[in-house]
Amino acid sequence: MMPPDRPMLDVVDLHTRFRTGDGVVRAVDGVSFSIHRGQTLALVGESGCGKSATALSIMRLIDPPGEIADGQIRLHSVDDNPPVDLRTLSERRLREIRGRRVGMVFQDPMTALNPVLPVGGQIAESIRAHRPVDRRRAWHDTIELLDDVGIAAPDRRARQYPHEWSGGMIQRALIAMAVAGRPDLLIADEPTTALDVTTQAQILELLQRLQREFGMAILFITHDLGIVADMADDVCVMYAGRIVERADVRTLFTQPAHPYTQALLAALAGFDRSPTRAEPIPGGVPHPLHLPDGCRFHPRCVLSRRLAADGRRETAVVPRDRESVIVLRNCIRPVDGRDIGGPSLRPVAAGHDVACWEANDGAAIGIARP
Amino acid sequence: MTRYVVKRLLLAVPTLLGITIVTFAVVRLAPGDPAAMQLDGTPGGDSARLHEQLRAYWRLDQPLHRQYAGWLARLVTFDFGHSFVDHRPVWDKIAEKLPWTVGLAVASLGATLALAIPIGVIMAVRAGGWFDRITGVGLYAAFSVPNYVAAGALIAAVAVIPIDWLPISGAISDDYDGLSVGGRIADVVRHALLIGICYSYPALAYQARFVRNNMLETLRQDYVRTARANGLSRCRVIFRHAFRNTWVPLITLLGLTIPSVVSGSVILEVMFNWPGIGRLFYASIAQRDYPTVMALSVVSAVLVLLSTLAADIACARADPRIHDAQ
Amino acid sequence: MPNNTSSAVETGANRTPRRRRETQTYRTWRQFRRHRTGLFGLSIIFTLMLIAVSAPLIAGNQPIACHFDGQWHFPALVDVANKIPFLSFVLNKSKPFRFAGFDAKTAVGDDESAIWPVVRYGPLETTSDGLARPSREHWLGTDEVGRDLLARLVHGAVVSVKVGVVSMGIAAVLGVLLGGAAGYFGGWTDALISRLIEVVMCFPVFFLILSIMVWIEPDINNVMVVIGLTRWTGIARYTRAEFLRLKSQDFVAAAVVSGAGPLRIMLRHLLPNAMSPLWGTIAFGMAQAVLTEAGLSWLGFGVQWPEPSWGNLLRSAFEHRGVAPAMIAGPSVAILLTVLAYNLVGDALRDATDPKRAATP
Repeated sequence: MMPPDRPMLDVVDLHTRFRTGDGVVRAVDGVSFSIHRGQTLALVGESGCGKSATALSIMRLIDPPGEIADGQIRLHSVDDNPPVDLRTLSERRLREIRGRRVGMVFQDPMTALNPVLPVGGQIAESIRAHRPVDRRRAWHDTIELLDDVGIAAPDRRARQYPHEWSGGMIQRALIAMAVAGRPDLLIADEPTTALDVTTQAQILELLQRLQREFGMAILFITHDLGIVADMADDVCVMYAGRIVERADVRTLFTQPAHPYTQALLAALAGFDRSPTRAEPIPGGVPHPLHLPDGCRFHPRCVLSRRLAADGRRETAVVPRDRESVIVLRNCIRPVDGRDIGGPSLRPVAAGHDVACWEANDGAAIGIARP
Repeated sequence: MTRYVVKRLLLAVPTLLGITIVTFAVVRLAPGDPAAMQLDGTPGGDSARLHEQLRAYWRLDQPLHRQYAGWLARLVTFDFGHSFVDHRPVWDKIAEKLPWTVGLAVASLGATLALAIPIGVIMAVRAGGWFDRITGVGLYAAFSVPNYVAAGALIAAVAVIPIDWLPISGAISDDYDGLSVGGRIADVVRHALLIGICYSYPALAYQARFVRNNMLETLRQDYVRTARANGLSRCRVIFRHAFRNTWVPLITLLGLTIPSVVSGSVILEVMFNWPGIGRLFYASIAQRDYPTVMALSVVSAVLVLLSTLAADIACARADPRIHDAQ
Repeated sequence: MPNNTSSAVETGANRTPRRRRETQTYRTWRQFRRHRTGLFGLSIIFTLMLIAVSAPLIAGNQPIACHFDGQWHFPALVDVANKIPFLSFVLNKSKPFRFAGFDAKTAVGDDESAIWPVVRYGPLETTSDGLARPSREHWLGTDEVGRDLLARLVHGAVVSVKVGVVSMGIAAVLGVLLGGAAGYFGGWTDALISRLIEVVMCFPVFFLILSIMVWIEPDINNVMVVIGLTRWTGIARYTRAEFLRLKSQDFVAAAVVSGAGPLRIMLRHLLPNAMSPLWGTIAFGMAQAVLTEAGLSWLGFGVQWPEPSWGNLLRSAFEHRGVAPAMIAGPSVAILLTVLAYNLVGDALRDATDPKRAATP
């Protein structure tokens, strides 16, 4: 058994970009995080912030014109073998990882299965891709798996085609498929977004049960903070291709330090049973080709605006190169004119990192919830 | 599935009737008494006898709808009347030419698919690479060269530099009857080579491009990503998952292009002197052999109808959503 | 747990401000302009049309302008003008040039100033021995009775251009009307028209056309009409599907409420929205029409000898392949280029109107 403090997966400084006709989109721009065995890490953010690109990068499913430009994706093994870097792994070795050690569940179940093949056949195919079993054995295991994820009459159902199944059922089948190889890590990319609320709850329950049974780690991608509170141990909040806050789920909900996280929480009306109304975040996600200078969130940031209104236009002092210091003008750029590309993550407390020049910790900033 | 096939067959019945009505209309709506008019300029002087034959076949003394009904009843028994030119039953004439055309079409279809599918798949898998680019331009050029233009150029080239083993005319050599079985096959293949190439290359170009574009589309689908995320081999992902979904539109395309392939057979068969129904059609028109012309129209339309029917059923077999949707 | 989280988080993606509403056709053209191969095809087609219209200025035995008998004459220009309908009533060639027996080439001597076409031979003019090889006199050689092949090729372009435009014009009108009616009215109309489409599609076009051509005079105008009458099915199928899709949309309901009749709704509201993808189909159809006409002429059922058309030029080259194999080059290249040009334009149009394809090369 691996010591719990050793991570299952280390993502270090991941950069994924897409070349488009109009320029290069940096979908993932220097993202780092770790997932520990048996734990759930939630990746939260608005759509278009690079969550899915991060997940696909880990699976190396980024197709041209996209590419993983830089970084490491270290997958640790259960025994003491050295970790493998998925980014540089050959396609052949990668196939042994996909489905076997890392499983993945996607967002839209209605399009995630091949429409012209029976559901059971597709699951059996995945089983046989990883285990040297014959057709009958694989089919038998398929029925068992389907039964396990709660499909009634799996024998009959397995012979049907995807269009005869409901979205919730297909998502169950996809989960069965993803855990068929008993992976150490399951990546769930918004697995409940396309489902209705009751089905959502059932799928989440299923995931939690499977996690307990197999002891796998889950990378849970969602934009729904409510689900995060239920599912996650640790949380990374992403904004415009970067992680802006990283903390355990309790800290994040009680002491959010980044103004963006605070805004997200404020948008969750009544979460802390305060009588306030849900407050939408002003503005929208920046265009990926025209990111703001400096902190990418500042055009929508309440804190930044308030500091400017207070007249503290030249504000924070940020250490750079350990010795030199630079002065920022209102979250945008240093006064000497060189762009330093936005704030990087720094600890504000043990196990709590924030990418904001102004935040000290949640309490210190003291932004009043509107 | 059975229900779908039955339904599809029933739907073909009105189309079949429509085909006969159109053909009937083309004959009967022509100005004047068809018997009298058709005999204008008919070679051979036996016109009184021909006239009687025609009147009897078309039942010209009866009202129009009875004429049509009678004609239809005779069609069912393959009675298309007698040829003006050699007075043989029209169906016999067609029956001896049909295998040459159908055989050539089937052989060409097989060869085309056998080449177009791998080419298209490789182009899609390596989209944007050198193979894709070069082949893409080549296929586009091939598709744009009309096959009778290419056939003309080929025949002219062979006329200038004759190649002994590559005949450009006919389907069999003079000494065909004296050849062994293997020799006969080789003989027909040699004769069929040039016309077969001209028959096939536009279809090959079109199908390969079609397979490529459809594969590109399916390779982008979510289920392909699922298959890859589950660690399936590249080969399995491409053929079992992506190609299966390209297969259905490809069959549909084949069904839709069959009429134009049959159309193309007229000029090619005349050029290469191939003894198929295309050349028979041309000869019958040149000789104003109306019974044969009408019979060929009906027969070719019915053949096309049958092949599109086969294509539809094949589609439904390949894609469960089609017959479930009905 | 309140469920409005997602909506709150997803709100307000910033979009670029909406552009002025532009017509579909204009949008198609804007997309088309970026397509280099499409523009190349279009330029070939325009060149071809220019050649067809000004054929007497390029190849003919009448001077474009000449000073003859103390007067200026423009016989070739008048020939061009006479191709424009109704203008022939107004314009007439001046005196000696309008006589059939008058040979401008000998009558207008070298001492008199004259501007001649590039090719100084008419398409029907016998000027040398038959089947001459290409030379400085006859750039592409001559046909079996000694007519200049280049002159015949240039004049043959008229037929190809006309066939493409006229027959597809007929096919488009028929296809849009029938397909539109089927899609808009549905029910029995649809069932009937759909069957008709299916029946016509079953006949190999060539067979159908040839069957009809047996009964009527083989003549270019008849050929164009018959091609048009048999080529409308693709357009009809497309229009039907498009009208079916569009008629359930709100703007149609709005038009119905405001009292518009079915014809007005179909022509003013549905057609403009369905039209832009049709252009691609029409361009491909033009390529097919050119091919069909050349094929018919090759078989002897189209343009009648000795009038020139690419199809019968190809036929005469085919017949004389043993003696003059080079004859085949001219009409082959002409047909090929025309078909290629229409196909390129068709592809570009399809790309321009298909949002899914717009991204792929």
